[in-house]
Amino acid sequence: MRIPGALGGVGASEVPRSRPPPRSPTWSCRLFTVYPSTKVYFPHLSSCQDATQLLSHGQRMLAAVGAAVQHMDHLRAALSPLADLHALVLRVDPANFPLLIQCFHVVLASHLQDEFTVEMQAAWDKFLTGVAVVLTEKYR
Amino acid sequence: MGAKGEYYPSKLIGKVLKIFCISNFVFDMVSFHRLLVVYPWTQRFFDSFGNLSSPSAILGNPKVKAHGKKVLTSFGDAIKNMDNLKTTFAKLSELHCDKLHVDPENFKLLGNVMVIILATHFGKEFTPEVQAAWQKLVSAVAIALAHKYH
Repeated sequence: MRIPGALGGVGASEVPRSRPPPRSPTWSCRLFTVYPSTKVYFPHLSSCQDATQLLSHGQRMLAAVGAAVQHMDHLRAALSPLADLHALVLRVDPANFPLLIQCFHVVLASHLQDEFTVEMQAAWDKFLTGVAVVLTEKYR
Repeated sequence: MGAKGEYYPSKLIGKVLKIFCISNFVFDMVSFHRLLVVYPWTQRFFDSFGNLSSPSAILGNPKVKAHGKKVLTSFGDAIKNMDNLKTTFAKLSELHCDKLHVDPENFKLLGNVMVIILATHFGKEFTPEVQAAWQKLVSAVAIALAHKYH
C-alpha cells in the first residue's frame, strides 16, 4: 500500500510527541459525544465521567495507531492479533471505523490547527482507512 | 425542537457561525479544495474545471473557488432553515440526482471535511458538543440532498 511516507510532511509518529497530547480523555469522550451509538461497545466507559478509564482507553487506541505507523508497510502482519480480536471477540460493526477516523481527524485538526494541512489530512485518512480495512478483513 | 421532531442545538451552531463570519474565514474555498484533494475521486464531477492536477492547482483554480462559494451559500440556507431541510433542498436534490448524477456519499464526505476545517480554525473551542451539533447538521443536510434521489 502506497502511503506518503512522512504522512503529510511530518512523521506520523512525531505528531503525538512533538505536541504534548491533550491530557483530557479527548478522543474517547469525543467519540461517545458525537456518535452516541458507539457507546454500545463500551458499556463500562460510556458515561464520560470516569476520566481515568477514558484516558486509558484512548491511550491504548493511540498506542495501537502508533504501532501501525511503525509498521506502515506491513500492516497485515503487525495488526494480525488486533484483527483477530476484532473479528472474534469485539465484532465492532465496520461502519463504526469511519466514525472513529472522523473523530481522530477532528482531534488532530483542533490540536494542530493550521499545521493540519490538506496533505496531512489526506495522508492520515488514507493510512487510517487502511488500518480499518486490515482490522475488519477477517470478519468473514 | 423542530416541527418534525428534529433537534439541532442551534446555539452551538450559531456561536461558531458568528465567530467565523466575523473572522472573515475563507471557509468556502478551503472546504471544497480539501474535498477534492483528500478524496480525489470526487474530481470526477468537475472535468470542465480545468487544471486539478495537484493540491496547489486545485487551490488556485477559479472554478473551484466559485463552486465552493455556491456550495457554502447553500449551506447558509441550511442554517437558516434547520427545521425544514428537505423542502429547502428539494430542488437541489433533484438537480444532483437527475442532472449532475452525484453519488450521495459525496455529501457526507464534504460535510465531514467542513467539520474538520472548523476544528482547525477553532482549536480547543471545537469541543465534542460543538462537533456533535455540526456533525448532526451536516448529516441532516446530506440526507436532505439525497432525499429526492430515485
